[in-house]
Amino acid sequence: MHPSDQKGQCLICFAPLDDDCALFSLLYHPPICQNCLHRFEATSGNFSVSKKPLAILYHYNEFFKKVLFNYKGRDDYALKDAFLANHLSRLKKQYASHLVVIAPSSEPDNSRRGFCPNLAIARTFTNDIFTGITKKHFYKQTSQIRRELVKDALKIECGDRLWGRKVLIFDDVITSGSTIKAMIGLIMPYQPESVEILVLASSHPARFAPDKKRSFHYRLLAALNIKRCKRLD
Amino acid sequence: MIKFAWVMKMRCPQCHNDDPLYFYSLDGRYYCRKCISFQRVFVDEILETKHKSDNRQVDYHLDFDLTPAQKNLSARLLTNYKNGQNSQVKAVCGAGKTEIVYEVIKSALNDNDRVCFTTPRKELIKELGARIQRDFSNIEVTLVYGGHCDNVAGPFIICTTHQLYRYHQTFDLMIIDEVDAFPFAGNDLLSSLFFQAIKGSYIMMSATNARCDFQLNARFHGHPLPVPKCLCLPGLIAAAMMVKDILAWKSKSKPALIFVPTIARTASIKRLLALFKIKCEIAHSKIPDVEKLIGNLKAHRYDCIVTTTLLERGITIANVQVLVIEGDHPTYSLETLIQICGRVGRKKEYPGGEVKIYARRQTKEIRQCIQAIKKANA
Repeated sequence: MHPSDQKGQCLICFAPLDDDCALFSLLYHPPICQNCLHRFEATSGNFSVSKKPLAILYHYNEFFKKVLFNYKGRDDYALKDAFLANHLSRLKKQYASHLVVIAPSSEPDNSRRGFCPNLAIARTFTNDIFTGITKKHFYKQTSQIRRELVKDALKIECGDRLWGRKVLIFDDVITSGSTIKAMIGLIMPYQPESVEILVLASSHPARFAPDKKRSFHYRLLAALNIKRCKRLD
Repeated sequence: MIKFAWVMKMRCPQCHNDDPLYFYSLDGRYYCRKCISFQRVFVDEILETKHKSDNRQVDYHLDFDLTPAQKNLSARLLTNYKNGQNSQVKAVCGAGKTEIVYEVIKSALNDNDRVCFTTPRKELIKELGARIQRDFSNIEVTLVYGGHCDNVAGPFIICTTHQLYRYHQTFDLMIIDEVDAFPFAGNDLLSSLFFQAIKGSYIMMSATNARCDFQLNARFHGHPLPVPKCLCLPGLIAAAMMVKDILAWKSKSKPALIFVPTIARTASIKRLLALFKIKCEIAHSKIPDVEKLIGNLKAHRYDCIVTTTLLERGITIANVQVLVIEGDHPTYSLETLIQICGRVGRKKEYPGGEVKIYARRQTKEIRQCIQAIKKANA
């Protein structure tokens, strides 16, 4: 049977993709259905970490959490194509000249999975990837009580590749921003032309708004008294 | 682009899926995505199950004698098992299905065969485990369910159907109860996992199984099943009647189970009953400690429990009465209604009781449920 005879199905919910008649689907042939695409809740606004521009694609909602768990926890490699389905063509153009620096992940987990989750996602939009930032010793980020100590747990190798390059730091989820800040600290001595950050999701994007008083998100959260967000840099 | 297994005909060793759309390549090896919610399995993987042998001779003791029908069925199940044949049993709620498989479990364990008792509901597993431990002597039971999976090896496993992915061609005797229950009913994936775990033969049991080899139409105490009364009333009058019924049962110290179709409805019914000083609690899938609530109802600390279909099966409460609210809701399938009616009169001391279904109209399911119970009683 030839591949073109087969009907595609959504990577997340296995629904047939032939049913999608949205213009976006017809033009870009995303590997997930419109229903799943809409469940990725996009963020809006400008964000930054250590005065470096930060792009947060989605809110860390229940749907994102579930898909990320299936990808990283259940080792479903196929889902690497699901996260950027909506942004792929834009990211390919926008970061064509960038060197993508991958946030470090746990080696034992990667060895069990057979793939590095962040690296597999980054490969969907670029081939210019730097994986020289690693953990000095094994630790689980979620079990760290003082997250700012992450900077002491990371090291950089072959940093010369970063000289004069446009650097894009890529991570899946940003929570406190400690890992990203530690990575920026390791990258800056190599004097890159510029540093930008791209993360897939954050549960509190308003934390990273450049001016919290002017941020609509912050004001909305403050008005609703949902959670006081602490500015971290 | 998805790299599908176009050329070779592949088969997942875990769920036996052979649809190429569900296979995905990782470093040249294909894995199955259909059953990945259980564990990732490559098609070239040889699945192995941890075994733990036990040469203990087990026996069981019951505080009551089995009825002649139960004894007969128990003997026939044993004969079928010895002959390597599968059996499908249909027995009315409260017929004593669990006790009729004791003999075949004893025989299999004493022959050093591996035995598994599985059911789709976690609540039933805990209750069943306690029951088997109480009735059997010299037995080692391994309970496996979500959140209780540290020890998965043993000669006798009691597990939910979701946990069967851990076992491959393992069990000489597989017993499944409540085949018609959610989420097993109509789930091809769970069905595949069930069959791939069997090495020998199986016994399928339920109260509503359409296909069956053996039937048990009488309850163990010999009294008929309570026939439900369907009352077609508008919502407000039904609510008033419900309160009247519960107050009447409360005055006679009869506990009640109030079945509602949705989780949202449980809270509103509880608020309504609180106005009439009826002590009640709510039970649904989001409530963590449902066993404790049932224990409190048995101890008469509450007058009733407002529940979703979570408590439709496996629950035995002495002298309990049952009300079904919005009985015409699509949640109430024929199987669900039969199971709900089966909660009443399960104890020998209280063999009767009332089952009332309040609905705006009598649905096909309600009609069929009444007919099925009348037929079983005939």
